[in-house]
Amino acid sequence: MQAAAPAAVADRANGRSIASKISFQGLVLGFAVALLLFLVGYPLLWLFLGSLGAPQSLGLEHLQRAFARPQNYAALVNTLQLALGTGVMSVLIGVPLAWATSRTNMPLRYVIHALVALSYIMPPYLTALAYIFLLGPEAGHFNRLLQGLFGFESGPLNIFSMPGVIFVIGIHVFAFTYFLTYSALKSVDASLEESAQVLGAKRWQTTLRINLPLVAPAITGGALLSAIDSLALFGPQAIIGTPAQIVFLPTRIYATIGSYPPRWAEASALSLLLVFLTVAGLALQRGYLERRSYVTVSGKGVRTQLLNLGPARWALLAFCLTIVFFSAIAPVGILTLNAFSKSWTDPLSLSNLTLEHFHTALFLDQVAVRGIINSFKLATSAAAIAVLIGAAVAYLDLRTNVRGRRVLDYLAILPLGLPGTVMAVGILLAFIRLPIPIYGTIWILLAAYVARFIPLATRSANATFRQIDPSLEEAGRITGASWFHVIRRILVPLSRPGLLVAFLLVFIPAFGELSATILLYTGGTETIAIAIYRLNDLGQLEVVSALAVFTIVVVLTLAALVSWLSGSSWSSSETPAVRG
Amino acid sequence: MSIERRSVLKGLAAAGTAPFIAGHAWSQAAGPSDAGQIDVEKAKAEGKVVLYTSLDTQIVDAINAAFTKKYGIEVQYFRGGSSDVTGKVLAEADAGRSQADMVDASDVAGLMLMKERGLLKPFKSPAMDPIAKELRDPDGTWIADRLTQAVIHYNTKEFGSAPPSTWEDLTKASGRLVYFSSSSGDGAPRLYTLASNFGWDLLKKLAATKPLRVQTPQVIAQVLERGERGAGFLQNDNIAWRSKRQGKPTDYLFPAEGVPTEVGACGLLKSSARPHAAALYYEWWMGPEGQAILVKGGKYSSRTDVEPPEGSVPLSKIKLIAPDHVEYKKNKSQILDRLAATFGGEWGN
Amino acid sequence: MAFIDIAGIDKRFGSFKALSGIELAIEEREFVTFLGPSGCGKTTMLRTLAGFLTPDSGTIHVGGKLLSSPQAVVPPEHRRMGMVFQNYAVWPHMSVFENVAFGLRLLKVEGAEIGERVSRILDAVGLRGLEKRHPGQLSGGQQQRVALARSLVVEPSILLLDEPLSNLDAKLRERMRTELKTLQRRTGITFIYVTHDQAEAMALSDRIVVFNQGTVQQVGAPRDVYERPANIFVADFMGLVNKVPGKLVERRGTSARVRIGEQTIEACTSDGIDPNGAIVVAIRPEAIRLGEAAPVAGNNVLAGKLVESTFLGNIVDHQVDVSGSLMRVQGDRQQAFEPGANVNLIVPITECVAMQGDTSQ
Repeated sequence: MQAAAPAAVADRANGRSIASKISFQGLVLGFAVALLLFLVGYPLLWLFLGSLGAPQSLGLEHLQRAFARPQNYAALVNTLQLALGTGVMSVLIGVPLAWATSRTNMPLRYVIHALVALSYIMPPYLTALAYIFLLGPEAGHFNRLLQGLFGFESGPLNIFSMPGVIFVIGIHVFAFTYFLTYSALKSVDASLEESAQVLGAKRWQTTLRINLPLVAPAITGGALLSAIDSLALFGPQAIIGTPAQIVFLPTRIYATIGSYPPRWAEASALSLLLVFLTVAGLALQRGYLERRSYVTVSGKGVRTQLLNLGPARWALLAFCLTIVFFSAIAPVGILTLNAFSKSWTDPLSLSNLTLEHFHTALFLDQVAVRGIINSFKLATSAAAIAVLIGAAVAYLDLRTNVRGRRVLDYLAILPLGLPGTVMAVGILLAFIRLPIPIYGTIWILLAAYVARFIPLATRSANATFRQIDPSLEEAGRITGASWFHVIRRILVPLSRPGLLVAFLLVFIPAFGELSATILLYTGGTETIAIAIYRLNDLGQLEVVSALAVFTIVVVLTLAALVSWLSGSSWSSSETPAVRG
Repeated sequence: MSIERRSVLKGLAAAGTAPFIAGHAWSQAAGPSDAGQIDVEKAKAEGKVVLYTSLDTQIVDAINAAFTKKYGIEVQYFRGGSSDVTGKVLAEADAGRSQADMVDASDVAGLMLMKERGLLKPFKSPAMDPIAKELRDPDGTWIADRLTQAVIHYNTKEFGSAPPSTWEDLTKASGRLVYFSSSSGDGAPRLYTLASNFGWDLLKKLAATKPLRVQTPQVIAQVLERGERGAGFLQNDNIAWRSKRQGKPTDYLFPAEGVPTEVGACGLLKSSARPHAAALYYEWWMGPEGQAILVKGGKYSSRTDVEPPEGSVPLSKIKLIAPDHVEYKKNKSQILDRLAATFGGEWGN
Repeated sequence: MAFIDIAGIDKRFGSFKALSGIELAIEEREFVTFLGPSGCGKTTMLRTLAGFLTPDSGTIHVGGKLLSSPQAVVPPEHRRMGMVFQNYAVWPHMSVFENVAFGLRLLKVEGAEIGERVSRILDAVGLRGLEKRHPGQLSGGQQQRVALARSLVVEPSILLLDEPLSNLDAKLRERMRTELKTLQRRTGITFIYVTHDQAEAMALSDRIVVFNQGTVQQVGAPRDVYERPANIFVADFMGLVNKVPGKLVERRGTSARVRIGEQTIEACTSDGIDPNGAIVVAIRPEAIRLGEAAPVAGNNVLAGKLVESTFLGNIVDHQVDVSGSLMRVQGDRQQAFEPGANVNLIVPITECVAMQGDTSQ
């Protein structure tokens, strides 16, 4: 881009500024299309070809065989159970919480709201790890507590079970239902309830016949998003599901190409199946919301009526605190506690405190140290590239009428519907065949991260540019500045905070990415998530906790920065929709 | 779980993709081809050694620390499971991006495969004479460094003086057993050795006890130490040995009817960019000093002139059952399916 | 006791005094408008009347029954009032029919009767044939009619309307105004209507209650409030007015003599005017005639000098200097004066209202 600037200036001097603008834009468009096609389109094509048996053969027999295998069928059934379970769970806990924080006078509403955000921001595999400490069948703290209280012979609860997986994933993904329901409830004007009230409707009748139907699309949409997200969460599926002997589609795909010899056709077929589930769910969610969304965001402030619950508000607070205790406080707390304890199974005492695990995690353990460095490098570069492409796509979409910009926009949003595991399989299939030596290096991870998180950057950049009136740029042009000059001196400075948010929105999920990394990393390119995952396999749980605490601190700090930059509450800031 | 993805890389070669990747110069070996040609100064100038190993990190760290102290040469290592290490070496070679100078894996079959692919460098050293002939490649490309046995590992508080002493005894510990296999079937080969010597019925009965399955052998010891389970089918005797030595409430034994063993081996890579440092390290690793550190970590050395780990049973008193790599490789898919049918869960097939 | 009896109502939101000492008596079948600028307390009063707010002190009786007091408030759902909101508040997830039928269903009215009553009321508000539509498919005016129909179908004795026309465009607003008034006459329901638009208030109401800063400024028929404002605020709020500062010379009952500069005029006044305080005479610009004619009985004549005239189409707006204070006069468009001309301002005495020169405004 830099190199083209003098050319544009020179062209302007020759009175050909319009022509140069078009060619410059053409260049940017071409570059963005090429990168997008290369990073997103091409791997997807290979996923499709791979399921047909390419490159050895082409035919449907691989698909047939893959779907006929009982192992795969079991994985599909488990995955559907998981999606259904988390969807239902997200409604059961997300809706009451959203109602409590948006429509009642319950105390500590903002604290609860922030803690729900925390449950979502926390990488879900860390929640899963935390629950091994909390609900491990024998040594889990909660189990030991229950044993002590009620005299059970062994721990009554076992996290290593289907309900366990649903629970651990559910307390992460319920945030979708919560946030959608929350904003829907917030945008129901009190007059809609009062109208019913003056007509003689009692409180419960109003809630049931007015509020609930009004926010029903948001609830359904949230439940669908929760279910879709849970399909893709390799981390908790592997960390809890694998010891529980329960296989899901992502862990099945992982095992399929992890064993020797890898079965690419089967992995591709299963990936396509996963994509199908995700895309079908997303289409359903979009269609449903679009057709039935009554709650429109109007420019005018909405007056909401906070229900005075009287003493019942304390009971509701107890319920909400219980939920966020399990979804945020306990997981973060236990990881922190373990990170500072000599041994996690020993009781907490001053003599059991140590900084040794942080020392090991941050300085001694080769993989951990490398992982931290790599994660910072990768997240930074991926975020920078994604913002660059995302900004180009958004600019073309909003400021030009170049043909094909819609397709580009769509392509840039597409990866939202692709689980990390699927993306990794596509990238592996695609890049091994190219004479570009990125395979087996850190570059393949970078490619995967950019491809996975480009939608976050694009959406964010789009929202930023939308807020800047094009006349500001036109004013720059009319005073004689070149296109490039206007971009550099007007658009970029004006959109800097927004682009920084876009950068962070990519950085945060990229920093803790696991599901694609696990298939793409190699010796030397371990990330922090890999270090955590592998050390967990080796049972070095205290060091794992230290790394987890480190990750949480980084992610939370940046998330707080996003919130501050956006100058708004969590609900309105764009939350990453895909996660490690 | 942490191990098997290497074979992703390995598999790509099998998928016929290797030709797409430009082959690099790994065919011609450089540097010393026997111990006498090692130039310590050159080795120091090369600066470092890159090791790929499946050995326990605590042992590797100890060996490396002593080596670096003596020669001032840093050792960088990648640690993974056996198939992990093998897969990684093969895949890197395919991609023309070999990084390792020396490779060590607890499964000699991996080294044999590397030799087949022409990745290993023949190296002769008189220092390796005290190693049985059958534990050495006649061409000198690999050499066994250790033997790892499967044991019955148990919690002494739970079993006291009457622990399960035969494989059959384990089947009586209903609800109290723990065993290991990753989701790609990393623990499968020795379960297969057990099945082919004592019958699949044994495995069925073990499965009937609803054993806890963990992803790495290290976790078995932790589970037993905490008393979450009482007894384990542990594939690495050194882990049980260490647990006992650390004063944890565990002990272990070698069933008299015979124990599956695995031969670990190491070799030098032809593609090494640091041949002198690599050879120096190899000599150190296989020599009495390196092997002594290995033994201190609880491993049985392949050298006849090195004592067994302190307080352990000499190998001569244990009935060892060698694995049938050929048979396993041939019927792998059926074996994994059968294990999956027996134990449930994911076995990678 | 009046049909609706509001006595001594106070309402605070934190430190903000939204209502203080409101006293009002409203009769059955009356169309009463609460008028005032935003934040004056008119909506708070309406919502207190509806039962959404609990007064800090005072009582509200309707039909002799105590509905609101600081101790107990009959909830809105038990007051059997109707309410129409500024934003229509038509439920978007229900059809027009369902919206209107909602209240009837709560009253457990028979299915057949519901159908009958809904179609009757939809006829009345001009929405026949739109029963199956959803609010999203209706215009703003149509939505407002749905809201009206929904409130009226349950035949409340009181209908509360909170700025119901303010979201409509000017033409539609005027039409709905007429319809509302007709509807009120026909149904005989007591309408309590909140607006900040004084023209709307005057067009619709039997009586207007002017609110400011949480207190009632004046209660009266539209003409009374317009012509005989109780204070400067009311005078100002009801329309364009000249506030001419002067000095009370003499007062006899409801008439007074006020000195303006060197000239003295006759004016109407109310009780309680402080003879020593500053006096303002409120004169509507359209009440003044310009001319050279000699004084006629019942009129004041003030001498002035024309400063500027602006042609506005239907009228001409003159600025006249009267003893140093500038007065606006809305005159006949046929009448033209040169700037600087000496003119006489002829104002009926009844159009001059002397009042306290309140400094609180």
